Amino acid sequence: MGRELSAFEKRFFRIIYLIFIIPAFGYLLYNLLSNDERDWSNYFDFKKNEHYEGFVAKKYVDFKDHAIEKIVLDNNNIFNLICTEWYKQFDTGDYVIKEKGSLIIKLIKKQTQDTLFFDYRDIEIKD
Amino acid sequence: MMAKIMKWVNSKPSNNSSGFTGASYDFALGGGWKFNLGLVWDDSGGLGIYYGAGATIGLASSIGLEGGNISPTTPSGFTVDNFAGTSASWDFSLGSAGYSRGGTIDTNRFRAIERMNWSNFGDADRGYITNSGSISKGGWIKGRLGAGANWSQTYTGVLRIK
Repeated sequence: MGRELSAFEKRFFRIIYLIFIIPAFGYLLYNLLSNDERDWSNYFDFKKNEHYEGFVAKKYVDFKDHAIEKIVLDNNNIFNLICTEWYKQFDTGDYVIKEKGSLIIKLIKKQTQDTLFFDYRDIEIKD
Repeated sequence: MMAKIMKWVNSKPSNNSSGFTGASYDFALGGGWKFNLGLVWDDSGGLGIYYGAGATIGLASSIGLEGGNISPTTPSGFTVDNFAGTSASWDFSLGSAGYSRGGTIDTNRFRAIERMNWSNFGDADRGYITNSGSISKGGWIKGRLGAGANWSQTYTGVLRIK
């Protein structure tokens, strides 16, 4: 058993409850009860703002950053890829175009001159 | 020369039994620290040791055991290597029992308060969400309050065993 709390300590804990603990548990309840369906709109907005263009100089997996597959262009721009299936398609010397406002990465293969389109909207995951 | 549209439409991640278990220590009186250490595994048989440290905001004072599941949010699924990096979480406790919800947080996109937003967890390249429970022994503050809540941003390293 601990010692009896002083009047000051009791008031202090009451204030902590009112300004922090109760709101925090309210936040927990709100999130647990709300629809948990993932909304990718924010992610898409971020990707839309990205702009890069150049030849693939290097590709690597960043094991210090969630093992994200990254592409380095000859102009030192670096961008992330969302999945291994996309990463496998990129090779050194390929040409990449990602325009601002678009959700599509265009990849022109060095060997075949084929153009591959990677659309971020395709990543939407549904049950 | 031809054009190909690479489609990976609505491919739901196949992982369903990735998880982690370990020990954790939280202390925060307004601001504080969080540390954890344990094992993480994935669906493909991967296993690693994780160790994390970070800053926390809120009220917490506990040392205990944690364990939970990991749900990937992107088509590639989850491997133990994805666990390494910056993540954020909300931890709630009542008495000795605790619940935590966390996940990857993209520090290039989310600033300050946005990183505390529960719905931003996992919204990232190679993202995942964690749901975990804990049993802990509280300190003096938590003993008096009977409850705790804190938000943390931690950096986690992983040593892959297999």
